[in-house]
Amino acid sequence: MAKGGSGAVGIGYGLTVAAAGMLATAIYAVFLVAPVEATLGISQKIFYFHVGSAINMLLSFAVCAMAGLAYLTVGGARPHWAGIADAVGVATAEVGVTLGAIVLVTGPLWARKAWGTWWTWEPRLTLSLMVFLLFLAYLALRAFAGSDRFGRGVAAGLSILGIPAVYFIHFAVERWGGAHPQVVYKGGLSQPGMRLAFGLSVAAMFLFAAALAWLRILTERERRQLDALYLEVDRRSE
Amino acid sequence: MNDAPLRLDCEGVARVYGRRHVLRDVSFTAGAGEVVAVVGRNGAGKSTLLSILAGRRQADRGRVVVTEGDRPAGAAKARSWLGFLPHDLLVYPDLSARENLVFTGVLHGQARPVERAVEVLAAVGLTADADRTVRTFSRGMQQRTAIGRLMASGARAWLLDEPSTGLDEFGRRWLLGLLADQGRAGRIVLFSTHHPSEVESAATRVLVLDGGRLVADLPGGAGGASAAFARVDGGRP
Amino acid sequence: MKDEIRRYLAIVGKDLRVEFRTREILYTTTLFALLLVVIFAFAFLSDQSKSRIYGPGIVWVTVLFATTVGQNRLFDRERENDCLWSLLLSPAAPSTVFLAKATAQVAFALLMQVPTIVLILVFFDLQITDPLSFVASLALGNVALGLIGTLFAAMLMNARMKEVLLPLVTYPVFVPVVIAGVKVTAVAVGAPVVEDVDTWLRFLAGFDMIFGVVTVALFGRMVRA
Repeated sequence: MAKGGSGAVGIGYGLTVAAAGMLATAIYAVFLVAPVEATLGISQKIFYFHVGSAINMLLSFAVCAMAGLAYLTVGGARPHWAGIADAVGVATAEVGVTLGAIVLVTGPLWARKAWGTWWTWEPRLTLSLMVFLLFLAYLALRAFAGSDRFGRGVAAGLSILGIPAVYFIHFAVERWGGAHPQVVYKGGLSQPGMRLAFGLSVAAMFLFAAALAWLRILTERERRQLDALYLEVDRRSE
Repeated sequence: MNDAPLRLDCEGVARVYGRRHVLRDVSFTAGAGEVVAVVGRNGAGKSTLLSILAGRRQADRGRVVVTEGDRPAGAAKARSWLGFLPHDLLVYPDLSARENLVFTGVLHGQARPVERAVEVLAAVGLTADADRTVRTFSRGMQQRTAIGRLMASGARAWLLDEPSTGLDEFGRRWLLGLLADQGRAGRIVLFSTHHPSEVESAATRVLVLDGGRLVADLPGGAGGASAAFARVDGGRP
Repeated sequence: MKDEIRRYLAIVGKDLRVEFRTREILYTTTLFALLLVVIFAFAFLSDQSKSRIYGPGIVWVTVLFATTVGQNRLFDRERENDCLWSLLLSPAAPSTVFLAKATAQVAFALLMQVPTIVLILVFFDLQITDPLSFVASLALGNVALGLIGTLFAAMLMNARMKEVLLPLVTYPVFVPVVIAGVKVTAVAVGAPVVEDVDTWLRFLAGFDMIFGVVTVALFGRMVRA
């Protein structure tokens, strides 16, 4: 298992450097290329990071659910693949929580400036909150649901259940809230500079998330290899 | 029995807890008619082995295969053939002994669960207390109910974890006779025990576990029992 | 198939029998629900004219809380003597076991809700103008709570922190059910809202169908993970 390790670490470094570079480029584009929005002023710039994080949070969630599905389908028959699926699951969940925290901090900051209140039950922000809570429940299950192995299985089940849940939550909160302003989403990217900055921000947050997830998968792998070594020692001892 | 004989294969079963092995690559085969005692110190892995054989826990490596004749059984078939009596007795404390047995019969697809329950109640000596809830029973009577559960389920392989727990001396003798009878009737019996006398009087074979490893596979009877417990002792406190 | 139906009925019958013998789940959850209603009355009822605004929410919050308590209790019974495994180690299909437990859970929840909702209607002076859709929303909503609650109550049966872990896991998934239930109930009691009741009822029915398939498929795999 140790072979190929340095290659994987190299990819980790590569992703980290790429994420840093892309973040710098995105910040440059957001503040120096994209024009200041006419009605909202400088505060509109937070939108680029807010939405960039939100999109990648949903992506993390989808990957986490796929990993959960793989974990429960492959099951005990192929421990190696189940281990990889599980590592991907926990990594994307933790990255998802991080991105969710960014979304839920930037959202209110922007809402305060745009609508004069810290929190608004705007459907997409509400959906982000619910996805964030689902991720936290996933991590709580892994930590407290029972033995390592059992907790992982239950958490994997929740991540799979989360896919239809997010769909139904989306539908329900869309119709629940009524008429909150959505103009900023729809009409906010009127100029090419803004669209460039937006695209770069989404890409930067994607690389950031991918780098974090990759590094987390690597630490999980290290932990597993260490466990395997301890087990091997235990197996050979009397 | 006119069914093809049953075989239970335990193939390289390992179970891990944290960074320690509870079971290390345990392999053996038990055939129809064998009454196998599993012995070992506390923490040797007896309960874990029995619960993995029963399907209550999953092995981390290796597998358990139940075969009838030469056909490996599917999951549901294997569950219907295996009967398990763990420390947690698997009987409902708020149902009466009779209700527990009828319920088991229905779950296991037995043809006449009510009539069978009456027979089993007589066999385990609970006819007089049949309609009391199990919660009001002494531990020994609860143990009898759980043994009755195995009989009512029609299982062809019995896996019992220290089945004499809570039984008085008469109950113990009755149980050992019952286990030996099951062997003669062509069933597979595996039971864990700490008592050489139980191995001596009922077992046709002894497996010795030490530190999660199968260290000896001996014939039953007095010779096997003393050899097995000599192996178990190892001079530790 | 016939065997599986017999097993299903046996498990449901067993749960009902134990409950009518001990009465502990119905007694405790109903009392808990009634007390919640009283607390809500003190918290929200200073202005009687608002009762049609708050009433629907109070119905569903009460249903949600009391149902969660009952879900944990129902599996306390299966935890004692590790009884759930007497079902799972029998030849019964895992989906049979799951559906039987979910059925018993929904039955207890509905029984508990009858006196609770009557009390809410009396205390809050609410008239149900559209009983059919109200009952439909309760039935569909309880199936939704029952499916997901039963799945996780079974999984968390042996967890030390199950009392708080269960709502932590299930409530985010229950949010759409509560939203739909409150909307339908608001229309049913004549609150000043404009809602399409049919859409919300279809939404609940869709939720039940999708999660019925998903939870049945997941139960067997999760429990043996």
